[in-house]
Amino acid sequence: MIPIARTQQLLVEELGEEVIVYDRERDAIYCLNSLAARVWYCCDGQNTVEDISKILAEELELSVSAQVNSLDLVSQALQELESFHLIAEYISQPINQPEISRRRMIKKAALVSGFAMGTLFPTIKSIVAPLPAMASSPTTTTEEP
Amino acid sequence: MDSIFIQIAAYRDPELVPSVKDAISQATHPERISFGICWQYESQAELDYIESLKTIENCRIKVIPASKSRGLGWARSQTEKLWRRERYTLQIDAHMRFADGWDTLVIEMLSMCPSEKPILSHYPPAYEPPRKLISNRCARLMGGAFSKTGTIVPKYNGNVSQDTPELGAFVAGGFMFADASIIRQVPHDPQIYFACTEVLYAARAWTRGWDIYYPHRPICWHYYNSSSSIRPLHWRDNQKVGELRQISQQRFRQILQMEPSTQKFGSYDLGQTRTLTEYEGISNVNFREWRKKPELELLLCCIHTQIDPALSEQISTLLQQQIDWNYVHQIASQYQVIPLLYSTIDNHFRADVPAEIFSQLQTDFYGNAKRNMFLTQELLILLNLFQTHEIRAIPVKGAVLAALAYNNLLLRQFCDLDILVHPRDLSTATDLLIAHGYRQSKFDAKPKFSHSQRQVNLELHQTITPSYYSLPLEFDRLWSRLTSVSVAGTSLPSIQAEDVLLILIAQNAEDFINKRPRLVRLCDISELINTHQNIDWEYICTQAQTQGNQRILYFSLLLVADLFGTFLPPEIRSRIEADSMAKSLAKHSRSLLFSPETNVVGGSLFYLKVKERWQDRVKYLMIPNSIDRILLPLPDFLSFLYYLIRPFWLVSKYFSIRI
Repeated sequence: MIPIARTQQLLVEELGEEVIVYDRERDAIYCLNSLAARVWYCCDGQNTVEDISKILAEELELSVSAQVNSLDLVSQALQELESFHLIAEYISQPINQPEISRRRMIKKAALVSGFAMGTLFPTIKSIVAPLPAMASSPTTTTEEP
Repeated sequence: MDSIFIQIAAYRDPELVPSVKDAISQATHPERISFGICWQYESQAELDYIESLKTIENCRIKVIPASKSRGLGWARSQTEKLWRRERYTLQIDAHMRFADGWDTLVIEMLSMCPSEKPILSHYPPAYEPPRKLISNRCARLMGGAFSKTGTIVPKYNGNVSQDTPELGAFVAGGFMFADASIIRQVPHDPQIYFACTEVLYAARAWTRGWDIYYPHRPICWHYYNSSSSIRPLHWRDNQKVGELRQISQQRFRQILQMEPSTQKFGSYDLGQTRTLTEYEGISNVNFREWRKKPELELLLCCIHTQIDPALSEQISTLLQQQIDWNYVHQIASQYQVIPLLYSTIDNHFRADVPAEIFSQLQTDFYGNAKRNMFLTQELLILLNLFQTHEIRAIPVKGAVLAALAYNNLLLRQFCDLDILVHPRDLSTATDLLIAHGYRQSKFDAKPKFSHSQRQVNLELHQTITPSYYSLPLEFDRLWSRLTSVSVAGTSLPSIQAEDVLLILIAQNAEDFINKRPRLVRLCDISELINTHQNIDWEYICTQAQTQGNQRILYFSLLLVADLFGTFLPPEIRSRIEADSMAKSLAKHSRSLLFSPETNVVGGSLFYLKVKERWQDRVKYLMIPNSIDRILLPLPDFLSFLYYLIRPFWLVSKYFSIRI
């Protein structure tokens, strides 16, 4: 099974270990931690769930006997991504063109450091932040006589 | 002979006698010890208390009624008069206990200091009476935060961990050991009251060539309980404490050049061997910028997209001071730089920030992120709409600036949309916006729109610099040089970075003319330069020179280099160095940039100074602006009167300010 990340109607920006996604259709904003973001970026129509699991295990240097199972992590991440409408579909054969630019792949270092900091599981937060009063204007720039 | 003169300024202190006796009993050579004590007493019982000390050989005591005492500096200056040419001097408080063989130990330790004029000093470890030694830590010191009156006291800064005394910059009055020549070279100023004594003394001694070292082994212990129930305190007893403090604080500020001097200080002034600037360097305390709170400095260090090791160390040092985090949050919000502050803290210093402040910053950051992304989405819709109707439009400021300068949509605050349209397309664009639910503001001469349902404000620009700037970044030229920038994974058309820089420096000058300098604008300039390391400086300089904006460019570059350490190529640096007016304006503006008083920076005179061409100055003086039109609304057929009125208006304003 090959998951494909949704790319349409989204604005995506990285900040440190997090990825902030704005869903233009739903006017909603999500914050993906490094693990969730890594899985999401791997959903480029080329990798099966098992492939992503292997990538993750390699990057996190998880041994076979490790308590944390990378396949479980990927499944959990995919479930979360689906619930936030960030997975477009699942296909059986890889597509010709990757859906997500490799350029935007989150760095391995960020993933590992996020993991080391205790971000053990993929999490996606829906941000319900109030619109900032702080942004309310440098209003007019009236010219002085 | 290695004689030691112990100076003790004792104010009604019941620990004096045990302290003196302990010094004698713990010394290897008690016969080499002498005392100079200034005993400030109130009652007959307190006078009788020191009777037992009078039997001690070489114990010289000056007895003064407490009501005549003028505080610590004064009392210490009295003890100095009791010196009889002993080799060393040890200044201590009146509540101390001593290490076994302390006298040989302290002399040996002094000889370990690689200096011709060493001082050993620190906050000694604690004891509790009668003789319970609490710890053996050997503190090193640092400068604390400036008080509202500008005074500063040393602060504990971890322990000395090496096997020899550690070089430092601060002395503690409660333990100071040196060659006794220091008594003549650096006499105590009798007008310096308690809190001012230590840092001022350290600066005076250091500038006279004395080097300060923190002991690596405890020599004596100090009783830190200063409750008035334990011992009476001068500032509680004395009626004139307010006056004494005021005089002391003023001397402190004037000697340390924190304010202009109104008097001569003679032997109480700083020394000539080293400069105050050098002392500021080793102490990491900038006396002459004491009004600049550490919070502001911390904010300036944090609002960078790249935190290099030097900056990281600077932030770490600042974080060791007492930081008012609510104030940091407040000024970051005021200067519109919360995203940068949050990003730096989140990535590097999360553990150093109180949880509730971090949470506030995070909420603000996400709120801004949501707003920025929403506005970017609206911008995409509108650009698409304009493109469909063949309207030539270029997004400016906001999202495009965030991407160009910060390489990240989330790191800059913006609250509305700005689109540059070709003058010929303005009317069509206006109609289109109105057809899509936007309303045009009736109260603004500029084409400003708002969409009440979507809560979006938008301005259509035909130019984005004031007309008097003679910066002809005409639409056609910008359009011909159009490039694209990636904003949150989407490509948007954009003006070239060089043109953006020219616009930013013009807007920065405008901010100063309007007496509203904006830190975020300076931040934009700095980050744009950092992000575009291959920016075409030749193009920028040529354009600025052609349009008479060279000094405006230099002024902005000097400011950002000073505020943020922005790297400027050597050839640009040398060009700036040649413009003394730009340097003078930048220096003056920088010193007042964060002044709590408003309207002290910039103004019309600033414009006249920052423009290098006479024709631009005349143009500025003659051409009426929107304020003139608001202050004196005239019908169109009388609008020529603005040209006649404006010079008089400017002159009257200038004189009213002077008066």
